[in-house]
Amino acid sequence: MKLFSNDIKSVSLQIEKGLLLPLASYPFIEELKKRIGMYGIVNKAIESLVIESFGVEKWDKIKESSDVEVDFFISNEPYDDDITYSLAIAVAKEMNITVGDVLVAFGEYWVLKTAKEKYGNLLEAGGNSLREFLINLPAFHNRIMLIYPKLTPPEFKVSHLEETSLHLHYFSKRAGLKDFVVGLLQGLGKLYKTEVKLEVINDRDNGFHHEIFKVSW
Amino acid sequence: MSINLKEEQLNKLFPFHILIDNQLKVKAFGKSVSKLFPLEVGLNFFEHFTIKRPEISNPSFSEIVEHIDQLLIISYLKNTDLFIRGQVELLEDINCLLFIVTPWFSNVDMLKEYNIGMNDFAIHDPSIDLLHSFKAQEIAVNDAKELFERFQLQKSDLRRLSLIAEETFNSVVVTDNKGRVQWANKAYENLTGYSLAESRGKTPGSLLQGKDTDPETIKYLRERIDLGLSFDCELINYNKQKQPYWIRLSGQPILDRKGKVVQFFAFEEDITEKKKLEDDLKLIDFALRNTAIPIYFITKEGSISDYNVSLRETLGYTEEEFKKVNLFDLSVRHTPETWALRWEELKEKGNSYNQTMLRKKDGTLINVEMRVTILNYGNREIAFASFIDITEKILAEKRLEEQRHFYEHVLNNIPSDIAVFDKEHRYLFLNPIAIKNPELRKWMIGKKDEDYFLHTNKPKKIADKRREQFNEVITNKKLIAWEEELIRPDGKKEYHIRNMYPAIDEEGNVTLVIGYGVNITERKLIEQQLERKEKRYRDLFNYSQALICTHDLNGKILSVNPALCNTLGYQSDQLINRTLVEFIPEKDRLHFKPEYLDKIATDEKTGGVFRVISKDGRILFLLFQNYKVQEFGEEPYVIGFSQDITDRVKAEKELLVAKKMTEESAKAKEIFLANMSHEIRTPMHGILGIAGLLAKTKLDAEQENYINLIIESANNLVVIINDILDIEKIGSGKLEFEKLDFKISEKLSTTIQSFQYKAEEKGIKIELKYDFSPNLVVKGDPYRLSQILNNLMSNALKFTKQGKIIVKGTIEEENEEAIFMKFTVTDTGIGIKKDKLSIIFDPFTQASSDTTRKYGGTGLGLSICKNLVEMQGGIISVDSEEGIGTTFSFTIPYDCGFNIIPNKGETEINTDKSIFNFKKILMAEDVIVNQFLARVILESEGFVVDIANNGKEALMLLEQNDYDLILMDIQMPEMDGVTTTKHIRQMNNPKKASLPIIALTANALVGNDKEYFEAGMNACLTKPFTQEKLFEILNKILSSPLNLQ
Repeated sequence: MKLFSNDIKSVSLQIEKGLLLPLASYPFIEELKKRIGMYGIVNKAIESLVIESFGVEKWDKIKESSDVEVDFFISNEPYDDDITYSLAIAVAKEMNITVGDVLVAFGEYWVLKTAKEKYGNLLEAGGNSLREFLINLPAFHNRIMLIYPKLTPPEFKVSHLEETSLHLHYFSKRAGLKDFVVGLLQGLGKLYKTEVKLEVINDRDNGFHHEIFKVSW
Repeated sequence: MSINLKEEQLNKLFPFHILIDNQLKVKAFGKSVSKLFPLEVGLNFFEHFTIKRPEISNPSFSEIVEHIDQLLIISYLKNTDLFIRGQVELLEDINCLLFIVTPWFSNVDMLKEYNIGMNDFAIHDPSIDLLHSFKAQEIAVNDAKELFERFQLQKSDLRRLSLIAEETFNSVVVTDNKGRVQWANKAYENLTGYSLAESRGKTPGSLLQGKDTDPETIKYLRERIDLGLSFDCELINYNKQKQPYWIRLSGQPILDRKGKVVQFFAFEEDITEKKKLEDDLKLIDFALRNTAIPIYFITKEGSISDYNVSLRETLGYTEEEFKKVNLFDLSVRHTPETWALRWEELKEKGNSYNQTMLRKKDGTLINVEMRVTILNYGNREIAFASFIDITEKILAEKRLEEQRHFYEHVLNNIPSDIAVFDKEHRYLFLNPIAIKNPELRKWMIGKKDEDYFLHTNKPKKIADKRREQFNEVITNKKLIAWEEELIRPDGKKEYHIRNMYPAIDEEGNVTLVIGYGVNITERKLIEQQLERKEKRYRDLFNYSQALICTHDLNGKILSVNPALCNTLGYQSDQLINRTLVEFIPEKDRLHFKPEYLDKIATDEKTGGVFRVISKDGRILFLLFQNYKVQEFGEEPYVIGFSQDITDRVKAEKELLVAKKMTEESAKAKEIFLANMSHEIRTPMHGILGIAGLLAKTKLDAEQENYINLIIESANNLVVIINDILDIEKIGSGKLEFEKLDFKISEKLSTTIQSFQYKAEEKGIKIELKYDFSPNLVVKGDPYRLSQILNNLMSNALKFTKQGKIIVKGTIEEENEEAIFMKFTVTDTGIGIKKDKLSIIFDPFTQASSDTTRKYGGTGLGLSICKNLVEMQGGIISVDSEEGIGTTFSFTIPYDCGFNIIPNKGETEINTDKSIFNFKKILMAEDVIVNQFLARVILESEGFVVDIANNGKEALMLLEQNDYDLILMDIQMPEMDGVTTTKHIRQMNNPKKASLPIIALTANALVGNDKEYFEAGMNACLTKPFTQEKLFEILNKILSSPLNLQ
């Protein structure tokens, strides 16, 4: 994971120190598996990330350990969230890091590699700067619903708009992908070459309705 | 209902609108338009845009109005790829046309190109979403492509794998989890003989196991399959034809995702050959380990990683000992450094084969033929070495080489040329005698004679002949010899005896041909010479005037030459095979065998004279010199050479007669001379004696003068007689010289003295000069020296009227052996004419015809002097000048003398006459005068003298009386002095028998005194003798201790 090696290292340290729990200890795993559904492009992104970072053999191993039998992910086809999550878990297990960190890495990779490669400049059409993009993010994400009918995209809202910060509200029927959003936001920061700082103000894990990220730049 | 929109609202709803007036000029445009086009108010719209659809060729305001409610696709003239699409509406109140458009992007990249973002579009504008959809579709298409490609790849892989599986030489079987065949490839079918259909549903074991299939292996397989584990084993199967084969069976389970065994994938490799190979390898390994050839493996570092028993045992190590041995302990060549270099060489070359030496445990070295190869297996390199102990072989080769060398040396030194050929007549060997030049010799090996002759430009016919002979040897397998003539470079001929003989093997085939030749040039030349000689001898035999024949040892004639035939008057066939004796006169036949045949048989040569009878009855004398010839292997025979000496014999007889006559004549002459000498001497003795006696009496001057004249004349006569006798002695070779020691100085003095008186009378001075010691003693004949000097002095005195005569003596030369004494007599006389000098020494020759008349003389003196000088090895010469004088010089070599030894005839200077008194002398003398003379002389000195007239009387007197000495005349009647002396010496009375006897002889010839001494006489006096001489001898004899009483 070249792009995220620093994150992985820090996460690994946390695992060594016993600060992060092993995957299996997360209680919501089974619940999550029932609820989440992702387009293939996300799984492909995971595949690409793993292959790019660790090679094909590693990916094969992860896929084998994840029990995912799908040989090829079609980008515009939805796949059971179970697959995505299994992959994430498998990666986490294989790399000995948390699933959260895996998702963060996925998020970043998705913005910086997948979206860029697949969608080209469409992503950048969302705004000339991070602030602009984030402001347009809700509308942008709403448009996706029609383009990907099988997808139930999350909804975003922006509040507390400042010159160098805003609050991004994240509404999703999937739980546990908060870290993926974090990764996406971090990726956007890198895309727009803007150092971004994220703060999870509200977290459903903590009983809030939805996640609110304070995004500062 | 009209709705008024503010510009802001218009921009928000239609950010890409463009308002143009009826002049088609731009009045206003939306906020996002400027991102696409650099519009300005007032620009003519259609100077920047064109309506592509519907195509309006010449758009006017009104025309455009006509296209309200139509979809318009407008392109920018400056960028024909950029389109805007929308509709136009007429705003009647302002008489403007309002284009409500939106850009049409064919791809999302154009958004970035024109820096168009989501906010540049109206919210309701789905352009961005459309682009997104396009992109999504593109992604889907790409996915499909990727999927298709992957599918194709997988399909291809699958096909390939299927093909591999299908077409591999090895058998591939897929079974269910119970091991029952589900699929098998073609190789399986080929290997087992069972088709897939026959095998499907069955376990391979049920089809393929046989009697030799290991049950343990089967059990192993069953267990593994049951447990769902992989397996790997080797087992023997039997194909459909029940033929056994070995396989290596590798199988592994195929698991599903849940890890459950769903199938087994088995791979069967036919290892029958490999097994066989392994068995062979085991066999080879066993063979290598147990072969007698030492084999070992060496690492790069020089350690011995593996070896066989033979190596260890050959080198003498035990197994335990050999564990510590490495290459450098064995090799005499290699150190770790050299081995490393060698390793690289071997790698490059591949292998090496050479001779080297190895060291055994006991330190001895063995010669080996070593082969080393670098082997690669796996990632290892190892040197494989093997060798054969060739120590014995080398020794054998050395011995063989020594033997070869020896034989070659022998062949090279045999003094005949030797060549060895193969069956094709090619040279295999030549010795240096055959071809001297080593380079040429080397060249000829493998060549034929034809090549050699061509190469050396020799005549081809010789090579042809050799070839012919060679072929005959090959055909007949026998020795052939022939003579060969060659021409040398110098043109001379050379002859050789050539021999060729075949070397035949056990099967009777010719393997080699050996040629040897002997240069017989010399022999040939000798033969030719012999032939010529033989011819010459035959010619000689035939043409010789010598009478030649050959006969055997029995006298049988074998051959005769024509000369002999002619001489005897026979034909050759009338002589051959007859015996010699048949031709010998009867009288001589008795002697023939003992005196000729036997003699020649033993002595091998003999000579003599045969008397033979010719055909016509003549007696011929043949002087022969015959030789016995013994030739090897032949019967001996005699070659007779003779010449007809019949005439010679006759002549000899005549000669003999003449000789006899001459001898008798000479003898008569000698006797005459002796007699004459005696007859003259005897009276001369008497004359001189009586004259001497008379001279001692009292005489007057006249009487004295007469007596002196008588004495002088008598002396002169004596001299003449002596000279004549000397000449006779000289001529007859009877002159002998004494070898006595004497002093030269004394002889010179004595000679001078004897002439002193006469010289003084003539007034001539005589001088004596000599330059040597007065005591110089030489050994020679003093008498002859005196005679010569006397002659010369006498002449000098005779021919000198005045002046002087000088006598000189000098040593001319002296060495260890001889002393050359030179004497000169120089006078101041009349001299000799030059023309007479050369003949002055001839006998009977005088200086002039007047000399005899004037000076007298016989002319013999100088001749006698010359002979005397020359007979003693000296030379005499004369130098003279008429009227001035003459010098006679002579040189005589004398031996160096040692002492003066008085010898026979030499008178003592001092004569002791006291011993004469009363001594009794018996004188045998027949001449009365001499009797008288002797009696007077002797009795005057006190002797008692008895006279015998002859020898007989002397014996009678001696018988009757005792005497002290006998004077014996030689010539006497009845019994001469010699006979008488012999009788005396045989007398019984020893005293009488040993009486001293002095011979008195008038015989002056040499040889007589020898006869006297041999008869027993003690001394000899020649008549006429002086008293002094007589008394000296008497004194000498009577004073001898033998005679003193």
